Amino acid sequence: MSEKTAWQIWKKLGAIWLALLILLAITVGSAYLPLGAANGPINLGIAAIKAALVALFFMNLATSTVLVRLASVAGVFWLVFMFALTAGDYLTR
Amino acid sequence: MSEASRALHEPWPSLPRQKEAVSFGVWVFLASELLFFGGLFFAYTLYRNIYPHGFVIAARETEVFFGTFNTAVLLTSSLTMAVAVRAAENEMRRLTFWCLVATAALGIVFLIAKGFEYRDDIVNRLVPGPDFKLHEQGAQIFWAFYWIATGIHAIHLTVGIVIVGIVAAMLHWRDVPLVGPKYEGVALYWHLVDIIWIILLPLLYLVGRAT
Repeated sequence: MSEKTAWQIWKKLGAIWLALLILLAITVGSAYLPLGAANGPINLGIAAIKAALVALFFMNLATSTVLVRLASVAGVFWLVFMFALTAGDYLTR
Repeated sequence: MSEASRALHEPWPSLPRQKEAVSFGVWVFLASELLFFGGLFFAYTLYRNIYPHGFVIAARETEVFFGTFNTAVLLTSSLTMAVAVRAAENEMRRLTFWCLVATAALGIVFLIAKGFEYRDDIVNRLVPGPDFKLHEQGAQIFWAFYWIATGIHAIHLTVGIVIVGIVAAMLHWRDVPLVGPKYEGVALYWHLVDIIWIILLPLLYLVGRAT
């Protein structure tokens, strides 16, 4: 681990934080625009981007070891099964 | 005794292995959290599919100001948490401590704002039951989800505040090493609670605003 100054730490992580706040402003702003059926997917898409930014840069998945990355997708992996099986029942009745 | 050797515990042969083990263990725990909240989110999706109109009517009653303000507060707390982890890695004791304090303080700000929001919701008769404000079918189900999801999230956040507070206190009053894995472990949990809120924002606050 190379030595870093406090400023370097704030600058790098602050850029991610700024991106997150801009995305928040976009999602809240776009929610008031009459975009019809597009409003929902836009809001959920922005939420997914925000979640990905937090996971990659705040939770350090961008620089994690393979083992930790695999563990991090385990939850999503099983969620896919839960969603698919439940939707297969409810959405086909 | 060096910082690194004080932080290293049995049974790990080296500090990088110990850190990896902590990250791995916390992520396995977070996977169970994802499944728990995932089930809740999916129930929301199914009921919204059954009562699309009722959900839109009900969602318009949530307070966008509080939802947005609290999202900004949590995102900022994630920044201070992430900086605390980096500062610890670089053995900056003061920066680590104050960033942990800021993280816990921002968590408390979130809970206070949520409390004001809950008060408004109760005054506006948005608690499901015989006095419920709306008569649209499905509106009570939306608000049941609102109370359960935000309530469970607030409990998670409270646990996070306590843990971050304990780590900050240990750092302040005891000579704990900065290079250990505990900061990263706490941070992963804190960020997941933030991610849950990021997903809750569009589901609860941004539905039906344009129409």
